[in-house]
Amino acid sequence: MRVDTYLVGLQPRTEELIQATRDFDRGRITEEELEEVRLAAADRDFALQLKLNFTYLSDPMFYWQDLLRPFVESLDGLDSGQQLSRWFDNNTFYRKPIINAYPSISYRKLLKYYFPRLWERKDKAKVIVPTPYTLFMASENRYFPDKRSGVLSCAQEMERVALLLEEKGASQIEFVEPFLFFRSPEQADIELAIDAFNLTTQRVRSEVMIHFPFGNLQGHFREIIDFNASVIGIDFFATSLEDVTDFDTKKGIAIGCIDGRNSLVESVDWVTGFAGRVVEKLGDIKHIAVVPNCDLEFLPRAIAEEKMKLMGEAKRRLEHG
Amino acid sequence: MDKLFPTQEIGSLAKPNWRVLAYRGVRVSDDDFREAKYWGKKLNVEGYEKLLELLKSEDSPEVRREIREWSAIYAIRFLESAGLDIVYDGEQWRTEMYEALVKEVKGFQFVGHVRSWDNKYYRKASVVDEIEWNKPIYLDEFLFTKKYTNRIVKVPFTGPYTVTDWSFNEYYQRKLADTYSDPRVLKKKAREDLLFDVARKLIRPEVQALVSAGAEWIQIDEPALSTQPEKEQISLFVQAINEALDGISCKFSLHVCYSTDYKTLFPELLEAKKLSQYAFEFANRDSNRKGESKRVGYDVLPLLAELNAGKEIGLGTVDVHDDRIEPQSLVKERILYAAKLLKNPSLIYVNPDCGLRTRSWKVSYSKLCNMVKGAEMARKEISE
Repeated sequence: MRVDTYLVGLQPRTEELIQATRDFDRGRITEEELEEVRLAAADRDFALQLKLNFTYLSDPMFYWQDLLRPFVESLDGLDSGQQLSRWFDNNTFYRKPIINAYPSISYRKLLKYYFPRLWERKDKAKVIVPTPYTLFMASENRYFPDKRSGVLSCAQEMERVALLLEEKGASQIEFVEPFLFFRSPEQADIELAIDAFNLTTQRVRSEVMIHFPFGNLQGHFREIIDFNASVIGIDFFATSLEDVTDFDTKKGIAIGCIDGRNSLVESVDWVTGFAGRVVEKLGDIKHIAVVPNCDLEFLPRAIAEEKMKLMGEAKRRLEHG
Repeated sequence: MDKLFPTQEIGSLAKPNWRVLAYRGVRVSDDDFREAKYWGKKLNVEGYEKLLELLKSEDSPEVRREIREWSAIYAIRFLESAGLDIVYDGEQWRTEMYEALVKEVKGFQFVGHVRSWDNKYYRKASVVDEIEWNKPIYLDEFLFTKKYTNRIVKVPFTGPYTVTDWSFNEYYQRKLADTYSDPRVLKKKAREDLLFDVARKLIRPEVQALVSAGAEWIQIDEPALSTQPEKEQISLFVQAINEALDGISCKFSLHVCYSTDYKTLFPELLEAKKLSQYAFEFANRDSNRKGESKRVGYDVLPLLAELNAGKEIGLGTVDVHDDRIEPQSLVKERILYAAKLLKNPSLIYVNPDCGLRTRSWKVSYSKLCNMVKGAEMARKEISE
């Protein structure tokens, strides 16, 4: 059985970087000085991931103000609204994008959001992007006549994004889908999200993960099979293990059992034990990954690093029985 | 109140730079000193020259305490001068709505910064032990505010659901770890236990202390309330707040903001019988265009009319995350539009969407002045 471990979503900034962004906002340091601190923080994050032998090296996303902002900045047709919206049930907010025209990607602008160092390890690079459904649903639509045309148009453009990131060297592309299962979805929405996702990923050859942070997948596993992804990420603090049925064991499962929203650091015994229960329940699964249930950015940096260390140790133990 | 469309604050104001620096023991710059002088004069703060002297004096615990009191006096005069009917002290004594409360309570331990949005962060605590309230937390600032104003005083108070939601939960989760093997169930049960302990052991004694000292209006701040996808959470909040407030004689309002949809709070929230006003954010979701026949984001109001709720509405009429100053006429339109939907103008109070702590005093002052004038215009128009 293949056992992986890697990060999902945005990483928390270091205390030094938090202070530097504040100092920059108040005009106390220059952009160059901020960049220096940011690069040092990214180096530290990359180094820790490598030391812990993570399967993929994730960009810590320190340029990202939220999951959507880089796409607002790099997709013509999308504008950053003033409205602050809550990011699901978190005390965290994002600026709601406004769709004013057909989206069209500027590669140059998008690539500025990734640390160049990421692309040095082409066998390991991992990138994280929203699904087309999430991109549309998180935005205010002022252009498309209906949801379907809007989501599918986003899907076409996100395909170009995915192919660009693949060409740059991304070995795994994680599509984050928090919108679909946060509340009970309509059947038509599930079908639309699947159609859009499959349109985006149809030509992608890198490993494709779809991740459902904050989502309760109870009763939806038969539908999830239809997402063209080789790894399914489940938030086990939102979905009960007993509700996991009809899982397609040809796909990998990313077991989100390290809580990105609680400071209590899980024990390695508990994590490996829970992963074992998942494997036992699914039977002939060939590929698992031990991952956080959501972005670690909901934790202070020091605790996130503790959890990263735990992930590395859990992987080691699961591999060696 | 007899007056139609009374105006109220909703909580925080920014802390002036002179307050932040001097309270840290850092000497204030000439610009900050001029700022203190400017607002002292503009707001007719009695004896503000004493503050100016303090800002030039040697740092000491006593000086810091006095500086903090001066910033509260400035904030009270600021709100009065803008024309508000219901005031507080702009939360000048508090570090931040969550931190100021839990840092005084045994069982909470701060573990670091978590992002709120962009480059804004807040310090987040973890519950690591059983909660124990030892002494009143808001009492001194309330008594101080009451001493310095003749207007109606409303005390902003971070509610049990938000304290629970914004804290990491180690103690209760550890306690139940052997009972529940499913992490989803474990987390949910631990959260419920924390919520009820916060309501009983923290909120209730603190409210009792304020009311015993003469507080007549407490605003329960619950920005986290509308974030959960499950209706069950609203019912849990109702049970918790009912336990916290049961038998206490005081006016209680509820402030919720930045919800995806306020309608999801109802009808369950109506069972929190002690809450007589809901103060929500509306301006953030509305367009700034005037003359719109249909405004965006007010859907909860017809629902409340339909449910015959009979609750006052604190109507957020100015956006607290945008420096653009809403014209008085836009505020007026928003008030009249809401009054029409609610079908009872006498239930509407006028306020900013939320606390104005992220705006400069200059911007906040202009916004509040226009808000008050907009309310006057609405009052006049409706009585014609």
